[in-house]
Amino acid sequence: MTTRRSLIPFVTGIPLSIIAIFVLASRWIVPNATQQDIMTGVTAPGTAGHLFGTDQLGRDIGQLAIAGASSAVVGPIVIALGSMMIGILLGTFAGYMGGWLDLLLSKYADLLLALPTTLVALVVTGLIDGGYWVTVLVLIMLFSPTDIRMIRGSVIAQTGRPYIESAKVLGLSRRRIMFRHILPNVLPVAFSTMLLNVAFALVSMSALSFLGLGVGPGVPDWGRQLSDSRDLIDRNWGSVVLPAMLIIITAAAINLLGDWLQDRFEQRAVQR
Amino acid sequence: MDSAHSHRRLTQLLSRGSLTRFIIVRLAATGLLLVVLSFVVFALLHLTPGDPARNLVGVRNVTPELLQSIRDKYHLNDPFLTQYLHWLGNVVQGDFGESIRNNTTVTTLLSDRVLLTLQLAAFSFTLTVLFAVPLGIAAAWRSGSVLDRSVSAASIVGVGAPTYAVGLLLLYVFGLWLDIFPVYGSGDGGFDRWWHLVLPAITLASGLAAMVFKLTRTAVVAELNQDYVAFAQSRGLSHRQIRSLVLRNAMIPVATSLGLVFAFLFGGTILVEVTFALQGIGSLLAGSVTFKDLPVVQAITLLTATVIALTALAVDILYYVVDPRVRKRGMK
Amino acid sequence: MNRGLTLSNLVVTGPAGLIVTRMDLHVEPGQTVALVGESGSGKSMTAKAMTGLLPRGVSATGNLQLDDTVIDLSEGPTALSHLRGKRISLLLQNPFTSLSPVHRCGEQITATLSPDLRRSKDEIRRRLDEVDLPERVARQFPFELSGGMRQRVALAASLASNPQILIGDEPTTALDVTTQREMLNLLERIQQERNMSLLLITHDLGVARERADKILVMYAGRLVESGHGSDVFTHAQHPYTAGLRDSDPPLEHRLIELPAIAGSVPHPWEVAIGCVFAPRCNRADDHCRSDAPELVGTASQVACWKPITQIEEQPTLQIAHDVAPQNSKDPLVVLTGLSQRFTPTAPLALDDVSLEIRAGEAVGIVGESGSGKTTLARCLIGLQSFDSGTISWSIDVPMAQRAQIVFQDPTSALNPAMTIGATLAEALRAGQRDKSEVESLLHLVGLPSEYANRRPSGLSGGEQQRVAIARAIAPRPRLLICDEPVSSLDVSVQAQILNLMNSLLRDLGIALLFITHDLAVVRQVASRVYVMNNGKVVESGAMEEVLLSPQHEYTRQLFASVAGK
Repeated sequence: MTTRRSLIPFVTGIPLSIIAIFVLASRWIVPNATQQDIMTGVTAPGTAGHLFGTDQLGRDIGQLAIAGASSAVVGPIVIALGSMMIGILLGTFAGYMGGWLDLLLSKYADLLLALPTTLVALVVTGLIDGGYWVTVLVLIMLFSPTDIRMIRGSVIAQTGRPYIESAKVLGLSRRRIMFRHILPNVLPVAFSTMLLNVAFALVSMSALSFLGLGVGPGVPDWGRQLSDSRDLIDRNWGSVVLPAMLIIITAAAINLLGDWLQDRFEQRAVQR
Repeated sequence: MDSAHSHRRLTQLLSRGSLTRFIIVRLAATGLLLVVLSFVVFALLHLTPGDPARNLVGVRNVTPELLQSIRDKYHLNDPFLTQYLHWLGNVVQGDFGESIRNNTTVTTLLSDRVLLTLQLAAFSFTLTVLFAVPLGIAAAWRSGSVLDRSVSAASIVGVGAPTYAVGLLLLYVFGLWLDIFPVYGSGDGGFDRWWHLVLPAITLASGLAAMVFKLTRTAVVAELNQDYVAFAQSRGLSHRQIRSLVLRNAMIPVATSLGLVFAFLFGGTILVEVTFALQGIGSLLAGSVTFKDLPVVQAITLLTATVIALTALAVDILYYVVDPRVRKRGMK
Repeated sequence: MNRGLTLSNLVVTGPAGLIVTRMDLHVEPGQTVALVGESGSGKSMTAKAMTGLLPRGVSATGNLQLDDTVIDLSEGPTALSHLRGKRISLLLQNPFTSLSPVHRCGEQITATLSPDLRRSKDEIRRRLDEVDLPERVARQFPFELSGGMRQRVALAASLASNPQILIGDEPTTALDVTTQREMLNLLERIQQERNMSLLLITHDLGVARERADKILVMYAGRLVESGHGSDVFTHAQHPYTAGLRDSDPPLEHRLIELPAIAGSVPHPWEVAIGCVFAPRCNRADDHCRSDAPELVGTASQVACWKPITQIEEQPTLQIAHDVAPQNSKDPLVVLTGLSQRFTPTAPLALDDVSLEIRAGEAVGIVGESGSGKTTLARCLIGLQSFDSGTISWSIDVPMAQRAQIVFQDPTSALNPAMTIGATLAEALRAGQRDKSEVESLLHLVGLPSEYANRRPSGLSGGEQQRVAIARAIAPRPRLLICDEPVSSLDVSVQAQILNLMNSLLRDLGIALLFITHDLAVVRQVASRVYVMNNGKVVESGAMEEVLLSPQHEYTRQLFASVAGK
C-alpha cells in the first residue's frame, strides 16, 4: 500500500509536466492553432495532418487543445492562489482574534454556501459580462469563504495547544504568535488545500466557458472547444473526446496529488 | 429498531415540546436567511450594468412608452427599498413578473419545466445513494482491499471530473458509438422520459456518488476505529450486531452530508441539462443569464435557495431525531 | 478440567518489528494476575493478542490454552471467536469511548445474551445490580453517566456471557482516584463471587501490589521478572523491577532524591542484541550487552545475568525533613476570594478561593478532575479571566518574569515547527536575557547542547518535558507553575523530572506551584499543600500536618483511596 501510494507524485507528475509544457510553450509548439481553414471543414480523426481531426472552421483539434491549456490552467492557479492568500490573511485574524471580524466572515460564508457555487458563478459572471479576468476575480470571491473557514479552523485548533499558551505567557506579541508560531503549522494544510482548489477552479472555469462565459470567442480554451464541438460529435468524435479527456485527466492528476499531500501532512501531524 | 418503536419515539419527542421549539428556532433562522438572500437577488437587477429599465426591455424595440410602462410596472422610480418590498410582495404570491425572452409570465415558464428537473434530480439522487452508500460501507469494512483502493481512486477522479465532460463522453460512447441510449431530448413522458434521462442522471450522479462515497467511507472508517467496536468484538458480539452498531453511529454524519449533496445537485443540473439539451430549469437559467432575462434569473435563484434552505432544515431535524446527544443538549 | 488459562510462547510482530518476544503466562482459576509495565512494554498488545483484537499489520504466534481447549494464535482472530466474549472477556481503559454513544446502556449490556433474555427486565436488573448500578441506567445513554458509572456499565457488558477470565486493560486508569478504588473493590468482589480469573494490565505498581496474587513485569516487549504478590517488588531480583519500585514516589516520606532509571523506555524492535535493559542498567557488563538472558527460576522467575540477591545490601534512601524554605516570610502572590463560573447554568469552577505563595517556597495543589485546580492556575498566569476576587503580586517585574507554566502533555507543549534552540532563545529574549544562555539552559535541565538543533518530534516525552521546563525557567520567573507535569510520563521518567524540579528549586530559588491529582508525587516536591474539591479549597497547611492528620472529610477520603489501592 505504502509503496503504491508513493508512486503518486510520479504518476501525476507526468501528465502535469506535459500540461505545464503546453502552457509555457504553446506559442512555439503550435503557433498556428487558431488558423482557420473553411475549405477543409469538419474532418474525422486520422485525416492527413490532423491526428484528432478538425472542427467546423477547419482548425486542428489537437493544436487547439494544446493552445487551450494556458487559458484552462492559468486562471485556476490564480484563483487558488488569490483565494488562499485571502484565506490565510483573514482566516488567521478571524481565528486568533475572534470578535466582529470573525462573525462577519462566518456570516458571509454562510450566505455564499446557501447556493451552489456553479449557480452563483453563472449568474454573477453572466450578468456583469466580464471577460476572463473578471471571471477569475468573481471565482476568487466565491472560493475565499471556504478557505477562510478552513484556515480559521486550523488556527483555532492550534491556538488551544499548550505551546501557544506558553508563548502567550512569555508575553510575546500577537503578531509574533500569529505569524511565527501559528502560521508555519497551518501552511502545510493550506498548501494541499490550495492544490485541490486548483482542480476545482479548473472545473468551474471550464464549466463557465462551456456555458459561453468567461472566455472570449476565438480564444482557444478546452471548455469553449467542448461546447463548440457538441454538435460535431457524430462527424468528429475527437473534437469532444480530446478536450474532455484533457480536462478530466488534469483535474484528476491535481486532485490525486493534493489528496496524497494532505494524507502525508496528516500522518506527519499524527506522528508529532 | 422497528418502525413502531421509532414512531413512538417521535411522538414522544413532539409531546415533550423540545422538538417543536427546536423546529421553530430553526425555521426562524431559515426565514431570516431567505429574506437576506431575496434582498441580494433583487439587488441583482441594479447590479447588472446598464439601466435596469432598458435591461428589462430586452430585445424588444425601445420606445419611451415601453420604458415608461416598465418603470411603472417595476416601480423603478420609487426608492430602492420600496421597490424591493413591492417585488417581495409579488414573489410571496408566486408572481415573479414576466420573462423578457418569452412573452409569458415567469411562473408559467417555470411550471412547464420544473417537473423535468425534479425528475432528473430525483433519479440521480437515487442512483447516488443506491451506489455510493453501500460501496462506501463495503470499502470502509475492507479498507486496503482491492475494492477499496480501486473505488477510492475512482472517487478522487470522479469528484474532480467535470459533469459536462463526463456527459459528452457518455453521450459519445453510449449514445452514438454503442447506440443504446437516446442522444438528445427528454422523451414523450412515461417510461420514455426515464429512458431519456438515464445518461443525464448517470452523468450527474457520477460526481455526486464520488463525493458521497468518500463521505460514507470516512464516516464508517472513523466508527470502526472507535474503542466501542473493539469492545464489542471482545465481548463476542456477532458480525451482524457489530455492523448494526457501527452503521447506526455512522448514519448520523452520512445523513447530514446527504443534505450537502442535495445543494450540489442543483448546481450540477445546469450543466447536465445544457449538455443533453434538456428543457429543464437549469438550461433555462443558463439561457436566461446570457439573455439577461432578469426576472427568470431572480426566480430560479431564489427558488433554488429556498429548496436548499429547506433541505438544510430537514437535515437538522433529522440530526436531532437520530442523535441522542444532540437531543439532550439541544442544538447550538 | 479447570486448569485456568495458559499462554505459551507468544510472539507479536508489527510493521516495525517485534512487539512482544516469547511471552509465557499462566492464570489459575479465581486468581488475579497483574501484568505490569511502562508504555511500550507490550502489555496491552499481549491483551489484544489474547482476544484477537490486534490492529491491522500486527500478527501473533503462540498457543493459548483455556482448560482443555488449545488455540494456535497464528491462525488469526477467527480461531479465538468461540472463546472471545464467552469464556474470555476484555475490559478497556477508557469508559468514554468503549460504549456506543447512540445506544442505550441496557441494550449494550445484554447484546451478547440470547434474544429472550435480552428483553427480560429481571435479567437487566440483575446485571445492573451486580455492578451496583440503579435500574434506570438501562434506559440511559452513556453520555448521561459519569466516568465511573460508564465503566460499571462496560464491566456489566463484559461479564454478560459469564466469562471464566476477565482481562482488564488499565480498567481504572482513566478514572479519578476515589472512583478508582471503588472500581477495584467492585472487581475484586465480583471476581470472588464468580470465582473468575482476572488478568490485570496496569502501569500502576500500587494497584498491582495491593490486588494481585501474582505479578509479571514486562520491559520492552519481554517478560523480565515474575513472582508471587508484592514479593516481586520487595525482593526484586531484576534491576529494572528494583528501579521501577524505587522510582515510584512514596507517600509516607519525602526523599532527597528519587532513585530514577536513566534514559527512557526503548521500542522493543530497537533492541538488537543482549539484555533489553542493559543500556539503562548500572550493573550491566559486556556479557549483558552481547547475550540476552532467559527467564529462569521456579516460584519466581527472572531474566537477568546478574540478578540482585537477597544478601545484597539495599541502597538506603535518604529521607528529607520537610524543611521550611528560606525567605518564607514574604508573600510573593496572594489570591483572595477568587470565583469563576463558565456558563450561567454550570456550577462554580472556582468558589471563593484564597491562597498564598511565598517567595522561594514550593506549594502543592491536590484535587481530582473538575476540582478547579487547573482553572486556578490559568487565572493566576493570566490565561483565564475570573468573575471576582483579586490576585496581588508583591513584585513589580514584567509579566514574563513573574510566572511561567509547564503543562501536562509534553507532545503539544513545544512548537513542532521550531528547533529546541529557537524555542529557548525566544523564551530568553522574552525575559530580556541573552540567547547565548541556551546551552547552559539545556545543561540545567540535563540535556546535551546538541539538542538545540533538534525539533520536538525527535525527542522522547521526558526530554520534551525537560525542554518545556527549560523554556519556563528561561526568563527567570519568580514563580513556576506546573500543571500535572509528570502525569503523562512513565514512572521511571517521572522520577527524573521530579528530581530535576527539586534541584531547580534549590539552585534557582524560585517558588513553585505544583498542581496534581497524585498525593505521592506532590509529597516529593511541596512543603505546603492546598486540597481542592468542587472549586473550593477544603483544606490547607504544611505537607506533613495535612498528611498526618487530615481534617476535612474529602481529604481523608482521598488519602484512603491512595493508601489502599
